[in-house]
Amino acid sequence: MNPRPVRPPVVAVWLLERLLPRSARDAVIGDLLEEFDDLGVGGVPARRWFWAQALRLGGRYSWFRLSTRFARLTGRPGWGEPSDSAARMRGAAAEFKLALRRLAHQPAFTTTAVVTLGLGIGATTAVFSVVDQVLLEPFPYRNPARLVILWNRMTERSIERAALAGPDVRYLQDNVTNLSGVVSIFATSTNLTGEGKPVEVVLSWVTPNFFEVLGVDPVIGRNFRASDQVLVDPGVFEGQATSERPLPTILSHSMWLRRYRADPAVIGRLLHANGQTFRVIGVAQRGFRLHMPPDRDVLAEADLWTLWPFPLADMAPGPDGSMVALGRLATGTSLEEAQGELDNLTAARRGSSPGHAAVGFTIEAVPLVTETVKHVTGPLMGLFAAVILVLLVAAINVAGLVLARGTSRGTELALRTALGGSRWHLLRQGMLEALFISVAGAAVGLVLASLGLEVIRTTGPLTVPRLDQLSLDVRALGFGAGLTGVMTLVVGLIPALQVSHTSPAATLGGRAPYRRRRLASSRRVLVVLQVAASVMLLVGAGAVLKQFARLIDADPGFSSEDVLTLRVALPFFAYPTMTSRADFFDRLSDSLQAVPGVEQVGGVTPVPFSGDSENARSTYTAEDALEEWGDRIAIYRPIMPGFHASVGVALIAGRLLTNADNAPGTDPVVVVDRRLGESLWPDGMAVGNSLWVLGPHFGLQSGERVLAEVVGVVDDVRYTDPTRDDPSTVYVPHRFWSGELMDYTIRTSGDPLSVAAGVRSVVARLDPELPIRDLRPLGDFVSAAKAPTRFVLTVLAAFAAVALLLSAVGLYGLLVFSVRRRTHELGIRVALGAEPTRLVGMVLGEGLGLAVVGLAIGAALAFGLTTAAAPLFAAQPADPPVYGVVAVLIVLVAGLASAIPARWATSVDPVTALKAE
Amino acid sequence: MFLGEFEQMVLLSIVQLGDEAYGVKVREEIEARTGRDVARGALYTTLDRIEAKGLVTSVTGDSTAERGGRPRRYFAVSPAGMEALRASRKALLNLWTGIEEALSEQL
Repeated sequence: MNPRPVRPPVVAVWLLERLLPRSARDAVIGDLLEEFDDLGVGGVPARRWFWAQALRLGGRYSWFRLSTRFARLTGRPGWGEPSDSAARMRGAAAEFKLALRRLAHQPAFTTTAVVTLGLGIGATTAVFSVVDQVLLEPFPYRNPARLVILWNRMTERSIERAALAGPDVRYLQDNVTNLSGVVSIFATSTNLTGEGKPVEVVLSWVTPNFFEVLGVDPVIGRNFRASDQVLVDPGVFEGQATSERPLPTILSHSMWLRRYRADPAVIGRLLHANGQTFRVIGVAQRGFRLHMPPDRDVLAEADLWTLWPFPLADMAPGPDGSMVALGRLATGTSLEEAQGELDNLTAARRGSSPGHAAVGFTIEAVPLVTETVKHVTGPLMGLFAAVILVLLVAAINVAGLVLARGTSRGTELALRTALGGSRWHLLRQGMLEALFISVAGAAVGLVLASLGLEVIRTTGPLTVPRLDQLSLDVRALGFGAGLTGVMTLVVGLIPALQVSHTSPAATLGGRAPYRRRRLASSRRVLVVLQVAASVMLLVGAGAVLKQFARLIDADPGFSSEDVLTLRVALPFFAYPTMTSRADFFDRLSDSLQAVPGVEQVGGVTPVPFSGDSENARSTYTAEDALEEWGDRIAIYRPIMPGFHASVGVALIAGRLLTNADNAPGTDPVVVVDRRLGESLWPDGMAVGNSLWVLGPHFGLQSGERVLAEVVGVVDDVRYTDPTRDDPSTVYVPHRFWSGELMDYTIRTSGDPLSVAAGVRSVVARLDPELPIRDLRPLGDFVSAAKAPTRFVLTVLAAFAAVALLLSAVGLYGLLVFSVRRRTHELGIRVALGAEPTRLVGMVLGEGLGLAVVGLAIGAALAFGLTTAAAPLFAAQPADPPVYGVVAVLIVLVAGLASAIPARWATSVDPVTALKAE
Repeated sequence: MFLGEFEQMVLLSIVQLGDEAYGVKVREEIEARTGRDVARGALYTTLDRIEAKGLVTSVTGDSTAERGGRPRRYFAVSPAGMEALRASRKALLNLWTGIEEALSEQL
């Protein structure tokens, strides 16, 4: 019929021969070959057709064969066999009922298993949620992995993460090719007036490309355009620093909800703040915020974004923490390529500008995501590892319970096997029970997880990004469900494996010694594993506890008792000059001093542990040692003269700064801290000597310098971390360098908050439009500085306690089991006159022996892990005392867990024991 | 026990084909008369199944070169199969009594 010699695909035929049952093989393949021959098309299409048919046939037959085999195994009707679905349903219902009834008859077993699993699943799911939503979930920007923070590194000043100043941003925008957009952002807080009650808002000044570079569109209205840019002549800056045209602004979603009740007609409205008018052109996406490292938090909380109305080149860096530059890597560009170009550009900049050369200007591009979460990655991964250990301990406990129950059910299972209960049937029963246990456990776990998340959300350290948005989301639930599935398998397969080893004859004959011994030894291994896991958790908790103790003991060099802090951020539209700011700060200081209950008013920028990065740094040189020491780094802190007295910083030599030092027109004088004084003047002669202070401070230009007399030496103060020294500090009267920010420190005669109302009314009297930020006790900052460590410690300690408890229960269960198993033997021993103490010793010895083995393994693992991973988790490895305490604890708990079974051993009545079998 | 729809189609086309009832022809017959695509796998597994139920018998025929030397398997409906077909037809006809006109009006 068909003269063309088209050959069917040999491999397909070979495959069919393997897949088809012998009875059908030849006829079916023959039919297919015949059709192939008759197809009337040749070559590739025919071969493709044959392949398609072969695969479909093969698949169909494989499925057919599988389902038949399954049917035979389950005793259910297979494909095509007569079936009665109603009977099947009845059977399934009966099996459900049976499984439930059996669980209900053993409430102790069921409750323990459910609660244990619930603890494990709940804790793991909660921690997974945190890890997932804080670390893994991408930021809500287009392609967030391509966004980089551009840090200004000043290699000659040892400054790593300064903000990129406006002129440098401009320079980048004009020259860089490996970044598709460079954005500058800085934030101020201000009072919004005009409509309704004045409200304090954080105003974020951005370049027009801000939303475009982040890749986020507004919900309503439109994004900024380059043509929106309103430029004010910087010459008017000193006088009236406002633009006559309204500045375009985009509202945050929450502001839109709060203040405008999601009214779409908000577009086009005019807002007023400090004499400047803003026109609303859009509303940002719900939940849109700039994700920032914690020390740049003010940038993250913007209520509205608006365009910087001056040329970028005139954008002076404000307080460090309030400014940042971002870029987006151009398509097809790697981070390394971008960094390479930045290095070339900054080298050129250093070559053409002496100011840049002097500070060692370089730019480092760091992925935004990495930078934002890096401070929590270590601790969170540590907690995740810890919770996995807890889960392990819980799973082992449940497995141990099931094993023990299986032993007591041995006779029942053997009987059922002997009566013809199929292995599948018994397996199904076991799996059903396991399913019930783990689903109930998951329900308990779900409740625990949502409780845990609530606790974490409200008590977790604020420095963890996105913590406030935590929820049990679909992914966490999926994770929990997956865990539940795994637990079902663990719990359900154990009895099944037991069944498969059951020999009805041996069990019903009364003795299955070999099997029981093997069972006991597998339980021993499980208990040792549990103890080891608990030891690891305890060692971890101990290490963090030591860290926390160091934090508590650390002396920051000041006293936070009875001190209220008030943060004042002057809007620069209203206070454009340094003099106007200094005048206001002084007036406020005088008025605060008059408030009843106030003992001493001072001020500093920023207040210790407020989370803000150091305000600024400059260089100092000792006048008479310029050649010898060269340039060094110190932090300059403008202060209100009462600062040291208000927070109890000890004066070591000379005098403190006074209001006279702060008066206009006086020669600059400074106070230095002890370390600086000792390093520059080791003979203790700091007072009366002078420092060269280099610009750009004290009203100096960059490169200028001035001599300042050291009038006093005070004790060292820690500003960023209670356990670590900061670089040395030079305290400067604030008039010589007033920024927009001042943190007042107000020492009171009683409860600091009792003067809060008085403080508020004083501020309102001096400037009704001035927002009051962060009116709170200094002690709050101090305890906040300890919060992250305390949080990790609390969670770890809870985990360790749970693991220890579960291990104790596991050990206890094993020993009870072991004593019961040996009732016969113990009976004989007692009958032969064994001393009760010997019997107690036997059981105690078994328990302690296991605990010690677990202790050794756990300690070795903990040591290895902490040594290897401590840098990863930004923690210190545990020291010998921690191991010692853990060892004592484990031995104590193991002893307690063994005591009751040991007592039972001595109370064995030989007559009953020997009759029992 | 009644026949499934597809089983009926297979049995009927085997009867129609008489001596020529092997896999390829049965499929072509059903497709031609019902206008329905028939999956080979479904056909062969159904043939196996109704043979296991005793509704059809099969004999191995001659092998030809175009079949790669593999013999055809010819099917014939067994007396039990004929009885099942009759029962099915009767049941269906009974059910159809009196409603054909009504249905055709609606159609």
